[in-house]
Amino acid sequence: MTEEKQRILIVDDEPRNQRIISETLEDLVDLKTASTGEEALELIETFNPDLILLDIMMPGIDGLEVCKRIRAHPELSLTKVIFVSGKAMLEQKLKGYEIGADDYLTKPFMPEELLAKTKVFLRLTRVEKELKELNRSLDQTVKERTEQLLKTEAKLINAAKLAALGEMASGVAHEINTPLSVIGLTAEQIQELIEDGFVNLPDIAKMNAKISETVQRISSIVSGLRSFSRDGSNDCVEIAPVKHIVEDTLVFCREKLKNSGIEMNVNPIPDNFNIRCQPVQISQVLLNLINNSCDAILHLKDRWIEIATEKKDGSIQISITDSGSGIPGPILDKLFQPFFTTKEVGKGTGLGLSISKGIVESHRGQMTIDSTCKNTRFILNFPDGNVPSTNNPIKKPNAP
Amino acid sequence: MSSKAENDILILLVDDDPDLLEILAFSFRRLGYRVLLASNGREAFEILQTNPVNVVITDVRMPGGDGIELLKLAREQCPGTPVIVLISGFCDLSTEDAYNMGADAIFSKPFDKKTLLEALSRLLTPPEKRWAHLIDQVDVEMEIELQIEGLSDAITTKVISLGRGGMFVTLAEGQYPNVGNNVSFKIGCSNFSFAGSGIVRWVRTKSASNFPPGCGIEFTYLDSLQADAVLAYLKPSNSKAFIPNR
Repeated sequence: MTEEKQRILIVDDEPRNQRIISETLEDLVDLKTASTGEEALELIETFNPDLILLDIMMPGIDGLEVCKRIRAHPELSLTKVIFVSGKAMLEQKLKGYEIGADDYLTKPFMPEELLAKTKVFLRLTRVEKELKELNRSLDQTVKERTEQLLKTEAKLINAAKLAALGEMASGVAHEINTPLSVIGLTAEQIQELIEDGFVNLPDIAKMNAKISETVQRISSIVSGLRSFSRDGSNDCVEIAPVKHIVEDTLVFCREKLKNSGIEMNVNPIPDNFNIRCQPVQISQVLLNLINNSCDAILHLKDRWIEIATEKKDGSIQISITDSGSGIPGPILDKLFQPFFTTKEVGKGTGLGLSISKGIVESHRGQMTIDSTCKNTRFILNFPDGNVPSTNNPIKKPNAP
Repeated sequence: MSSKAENDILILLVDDDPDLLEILAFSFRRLGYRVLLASNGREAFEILQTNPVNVVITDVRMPGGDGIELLKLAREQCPGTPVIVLISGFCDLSTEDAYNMGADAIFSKPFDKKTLLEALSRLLTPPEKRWAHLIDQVDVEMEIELQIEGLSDAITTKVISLGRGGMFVTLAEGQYPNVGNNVSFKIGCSNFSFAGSGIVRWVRTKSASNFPPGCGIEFTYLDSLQADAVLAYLKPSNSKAFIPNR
């Protein structure tokens, strides 16, 4: 491995000393010399030495002051300083160490000792520099990986949203195209009856009523879809009836439930059960729970989901129970963690529940699992919307 | 119109939407057809086994036995009964798969009743008579010259593939017609030339999986000689596909 030569700066006001040191070390390293403290301080800016052999007694700025300034220099934290001095009083040595010297070499010295010490410190700086570099690249790697992870997370969330949207769109197309056929065929039929002169008013009235009714059916799907297509996190907070939220949600999964042969039971929800919320967000939480239930019970013989509501200690509780047999203990702890999923690869992102929990908590609610239930039961608790709230009930959700 | 009087024809309507069943039943009964109703595939199949049904019109997605299941059973148990499939969502079933599985006609909801009635009467006509209609207007002329001996070679080399009601034709890049186009085709082999006209029912532009690109054509016209050749070829193979998907 070819390496850059290490750099040593010799600071001594006596040319003889400079020469002796230079002769000893010149084969080993890249050398520069300075005769005064001022000169030394100027040189270090560009030379960036690994080691400084520093005389203490010099006219002008002395060695101690030079050492202090080197230690204060942000770029030279790894530069080693060895004082080279005739005076070797213990007190002075200790002071030198205190201001940041790494070692002492007492004049006169044997060239072998200088060489040996120099090698030790050069090795030390080299290792320290390598460590620093390693650390820096480790930091960089951690930073890059973190960025990558965040990007992947964002992509996954997007993919999960798209998948949900695709599934929903197909369900909605089905829900709308059939009633559209009913309208089209009924209108054609009325036209035919009129053309044939077969005008039986009760028949026509009945058909006409069917058209109006079917238009109503489509428009309720569309209005539900319109509110669902936004993410809802910037919507106004309103006092919304739980009944409407549940009904709006069911529009989107009725098709899937029907096709999966799952029975949906919604216990009657009193009209006065209100929660303070962004309704679309709560719908999304419910839809997520229902979709999870669907996937979980699809292979069971007994397939049902039940939604029930209850007023309890000033809060409104919504429970979603399915015919599954509960969530096993080991999984229970990880359930709300992002990216935790028991679905096979490609089937789930493991984000649904963690996002849902975030949404519920941003509404000052709680999302829990009722582990006393012999089936699988999720419980959502929200403050009663009929009780005036003293502060803003929606925290900025940290969920994406 | 059809070869039988309407009141001799028994239609089985299958959909989980009671409103749709009601209006369709009303329309067909008014035209003189006899109608039976089922709300899912399983119910329909039971009716199919015990009643002399002439044609089935079925939805795809239904709880308790879907239309795909019904189509498969119908093809096995009563291969002669035409099945018209109504598609409502856009990922129910692809057109090419439906024809390949043996659907005789496919309609996307909402559909036009007149077109449905036309398909109905066409399907109730036996093939040799059904293929006697010359079309008035041709959108695309397809001429495929083959360096092979005859029809059976064209088929074994997979350039064309015949079904009960149409064919799949392998096409080169950039030669694709559009769905719904009226096409006249001429497939020339050294000792047999196969010409006629039809309607493009689906187009597969680039090779999906191992299937070659090409299109599915429903026959509207084949001269009697060719119609006989096609029927003779199909008879022993007992093909279920109305238009094969490759």
